Amino acid sequence: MIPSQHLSYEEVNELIKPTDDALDLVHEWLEANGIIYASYSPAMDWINIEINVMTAERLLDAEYWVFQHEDGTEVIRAPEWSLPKHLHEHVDAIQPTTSFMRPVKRADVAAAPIPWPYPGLHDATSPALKKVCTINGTTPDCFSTLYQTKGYVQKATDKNRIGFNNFLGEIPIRPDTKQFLTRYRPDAVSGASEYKFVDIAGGPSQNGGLTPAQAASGISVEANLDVQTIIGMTYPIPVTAFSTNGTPPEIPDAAAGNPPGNEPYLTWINYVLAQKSLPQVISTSYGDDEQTVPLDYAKRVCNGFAQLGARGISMIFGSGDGGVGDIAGNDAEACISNDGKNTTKFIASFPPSCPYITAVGATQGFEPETAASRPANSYGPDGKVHGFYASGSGFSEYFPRPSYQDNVVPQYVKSLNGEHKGLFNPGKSSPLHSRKNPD
Amino acid sequence: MLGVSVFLTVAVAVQAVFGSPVQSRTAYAVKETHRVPRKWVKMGRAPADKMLNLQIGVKQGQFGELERHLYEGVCYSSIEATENVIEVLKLTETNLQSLIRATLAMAR
Repeated sequence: MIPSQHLSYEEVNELIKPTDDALDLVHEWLEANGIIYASYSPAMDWINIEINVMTAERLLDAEYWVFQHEDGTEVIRAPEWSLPKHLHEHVDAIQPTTSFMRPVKRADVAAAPIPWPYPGLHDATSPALKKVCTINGTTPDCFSTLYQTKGYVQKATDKNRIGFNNFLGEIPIRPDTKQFLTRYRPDAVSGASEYKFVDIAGGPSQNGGLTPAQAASGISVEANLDVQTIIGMTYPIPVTAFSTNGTPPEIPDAAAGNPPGNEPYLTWINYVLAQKSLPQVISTSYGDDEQTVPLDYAKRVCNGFAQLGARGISMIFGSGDGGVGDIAGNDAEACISNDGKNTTKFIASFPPSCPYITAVGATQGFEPETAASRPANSYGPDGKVHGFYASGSGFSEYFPRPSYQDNVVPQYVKSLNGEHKGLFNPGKSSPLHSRKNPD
Repeated sequence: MLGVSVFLTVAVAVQAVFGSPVQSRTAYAVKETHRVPRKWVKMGRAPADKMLNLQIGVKQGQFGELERHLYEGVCYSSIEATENVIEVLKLTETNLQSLIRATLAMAR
């Protein structure tokens, strides 16, 4: 056997640790402003302070405003901030200031319906697949047949672990998961009571079923989809459900004494980077438009994923639900640049655009299996009308194409023969892999 | 499991001089501006006493070195995996040849 090339927790922190000079200068500046308590990430590359808006405005020579999203979410942000000049080279990012990134899960809307199945969906034809797979819904049995994992006996269930992320108050529900596994993967039913919750910055988690109020709010559709697919495919590997900053993003209440950071990826990553033992694979089904995240902050969040990668932990992200932007569906505004020029263009997703993670696209049908693309206002196999859905994809405007894509991306761009020219800039392309969407 | 505090907490005692102008070695200059994305509306100034959990990202010492390790690790694993597959294929081929030879021998 060849020895592992992965770095240890300690080795990663040693490489990431800022220089003494940088830390001394930042400390001096904080102290001069009366800030006497700080906490640190394990590598000391993130300094965390709890201060009120007045102090932050003085510290950053900035104005904090309340911003409201059209869905009602409110956040406090400062779209411009300053630092003493001598600190510019030592500080990459400070948040919350300029980031409007939120973990967005999929959303469906509908009006005048197209009948099911919509054009372009190919059913299974070969006997083996036809027996277990249908376009009306994909089961664990279909997945394992299609991807040829059926019958594989895991050899290192005492070492391997898999984790997945929950944001926005989404909770994987044990009784629902038990019902799913009883029907589709009876040998894995105990998985429903065995997965472990890790609550970060308020979780939430719960062991019981959804209350009527929770069910009516539509919560946990995403979390249930994730946990059922993961256990259905990976049992008996132990599963960890991370739940981060789930309280609906709202204006922090000083009286509550626990100001939410409102930056769930950063909260999550600083939590996991402080853990010596982690699942080797962590899956995330949330993202946002790259342009909602300021460049320097996106780089730092992305660097955090590299720190996990160097330890041998693979980060897998869903590539998105709106194709290259939602223009073909419901929201033409989703394809307009945020740089003040209002250019119509394809919009990449973050974190999928980060070169240190693997973005996985969605497919539909079986023979052939094609990139997922569901027309807006079309009936699903459930008899309900659904909105536009297409496997997320795109080219990053922030991250240059990593060398591992050199063999595939230029060929792909060439094969477009100039189609969509000007609508994208060939940076890091996502997705790199495509797998069937469990929906 | 409830979330645990994972940060090393330190206290640095200083004389707090609130209300006085910002003290600094150098003058302030704008570090970052980001346009507010569509769908967000500015409602008004944030209340002065609201608490913020401010995260300061200090420049990482040797990220380039970490990235080098990361890509070396990835390449190494891929090469290793490919070599393993080739090894398995060779074994399978050898086994198949043995099997064919055995079958032929029995048939004779």
